[in-house]
Amino acid sequence: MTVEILLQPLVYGLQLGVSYILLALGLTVIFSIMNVINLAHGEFYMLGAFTVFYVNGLLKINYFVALLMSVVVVALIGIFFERIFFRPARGQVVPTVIVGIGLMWLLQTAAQLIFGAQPRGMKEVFQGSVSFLNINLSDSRIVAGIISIVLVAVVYVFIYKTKQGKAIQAVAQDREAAMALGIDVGKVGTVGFGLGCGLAGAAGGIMAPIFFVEPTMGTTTLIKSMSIIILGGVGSIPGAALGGLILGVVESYGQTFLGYSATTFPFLIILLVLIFKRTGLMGRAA
Amino acid sequence: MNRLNWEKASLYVVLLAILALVPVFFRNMYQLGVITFMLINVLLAVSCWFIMTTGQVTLGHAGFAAIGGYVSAALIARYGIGSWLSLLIAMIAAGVIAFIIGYITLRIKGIYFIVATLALGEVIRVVFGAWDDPFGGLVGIMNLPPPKAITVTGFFAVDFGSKVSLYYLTLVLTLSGVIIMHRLNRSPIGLVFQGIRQADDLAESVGINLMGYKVLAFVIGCMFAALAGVLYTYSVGSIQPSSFTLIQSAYYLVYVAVGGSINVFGPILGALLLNILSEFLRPVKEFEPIVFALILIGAVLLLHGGIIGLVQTLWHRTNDMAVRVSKFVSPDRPLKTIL
Repeated sequence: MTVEILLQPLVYGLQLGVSYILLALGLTVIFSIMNVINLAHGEFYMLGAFTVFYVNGLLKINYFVALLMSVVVVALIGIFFERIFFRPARGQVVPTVIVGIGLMWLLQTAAQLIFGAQPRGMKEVFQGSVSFLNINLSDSRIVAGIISIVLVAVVYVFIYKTKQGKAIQAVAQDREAAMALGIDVGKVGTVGFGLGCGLAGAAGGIMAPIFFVEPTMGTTTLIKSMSIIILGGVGSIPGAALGGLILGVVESYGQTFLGYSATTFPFLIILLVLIFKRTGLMGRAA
Repeated sequence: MNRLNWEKASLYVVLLAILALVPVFFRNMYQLGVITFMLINVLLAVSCWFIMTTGQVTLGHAGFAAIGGYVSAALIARYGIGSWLSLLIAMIAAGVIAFIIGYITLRIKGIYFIVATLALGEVIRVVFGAWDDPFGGLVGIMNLPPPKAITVTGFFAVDFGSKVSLYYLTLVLTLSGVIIMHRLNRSPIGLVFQGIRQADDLAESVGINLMGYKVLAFVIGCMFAALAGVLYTYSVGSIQPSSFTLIQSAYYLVYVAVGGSINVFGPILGALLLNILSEFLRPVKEFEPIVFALILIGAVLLLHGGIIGLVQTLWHRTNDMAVRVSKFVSPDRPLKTIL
């Protein structure tokens, strides 16, 4: 019996972890380009979740279509705000942070006014569950895990194998050198920001059938994704993947055995990593 | 410089008189309470700005206000220690904690420091929320008595049971805090802070103890944040962890960003203007964050140096014009300026 008690959180944790990877990837791509953590990242996740909630939950359109829509809609919203708010801040730390705070309030309050403040649950898209060696996993969690893995693979291929992805890598490594090589830095910023926000939206859309959907859900999400990328090494894509899995598993065990105090884990991760090893597990030296 | 500047002095006297007469104009206790909160926010904004003068931006300032408020509240309510002694202990406690934390975290720079302090502020809040004895957990500490009356036997007695006396207490402590930080900012120490902000590697290479000065600014700023926290618990009469969220810390940063950070008047102006605006927005409370967010983003992107920067630019422009006019009128008499 004890084996199941120990293994069940692990399975849950890994499933959460792969979805966290999406969030963290989005944040880390945006960081690479702007050199600043986008504090409104959690709000894009929230918008993705609401898109799926409305399109699939209320309009009854196929879940996968809804998920695709959440990616596109959130990416477009992200690109819009990158153009009007983030680009004029020109990558300076304090202005970008403050713009992020402003956008966080703006989107959160707008969501409260438009969608209502109360948390809402949508019907599970996939019913039933799979049981193996007494470990249970609901179908929606399995699907969420699979979609996340597929998306992570797609992003990996995009960033490492395509021309556009290589341009993002180049800008992340050295903005001025990339400019000198004739890379359109502004366009890369737009693509990268859209990609980052789209990933957050996808993560929201994947989580929407599993958890409640509410306008304030972005804040904890932001903290979690920050802790993941700091743990993995800011700007590192493999680091984001590793960090996401670690946070998912640690949090899952924490919630099983410690309860409420597990909510401090992301904060403690941020503090401890920043104090003792600022480059994280896989980050390059600044 | 040391010559008594009559224009400046009379300006301060008028301002002080206005501040002292506030309870006469605002007889409504609700309004007076709001103005007291404004003063507390001014102290928080200025202390947040003071830390920023070394180039380190903190998003965990509410955590230190919480430390101040909680320590004093617990000492008063659970251990029966006098309010004035507890105020002092609260400030010292916050100072000690800020010293330890500052020594560990201040070597982190830029966005990493912002994120670290953000996490720190939240950890402090969660710790108070989980700590039942003596801090009361998520419920906090309720029904605090007002601060003890000051009596000088045979001369006078000031009782702090009323909103009016609480206003004066807040006014005096806020003003002293603001003046201390302003004077420090204008002193040689303030110049060192400025040097560190502008080029920390250069400052270090000329032999400035970087960590020492950064920790000093952090400790002073956090002690005054704790003072503001104590004043907050005095005027509310209770304390809960939910009063010290990340949003609060973000507000202090917003006050500085909107008001401007070149001198102490920036955060003061920012805190006052945004608090007044917030009062006007009370009937449409749910829209307030949207308005604030737009003002904030607009101020950061369009006004470099906040409102005070704008005022200075305009002032210099009119001054230049006045100088040109005066030179035209009488070339040998230069124009005197207030600032």
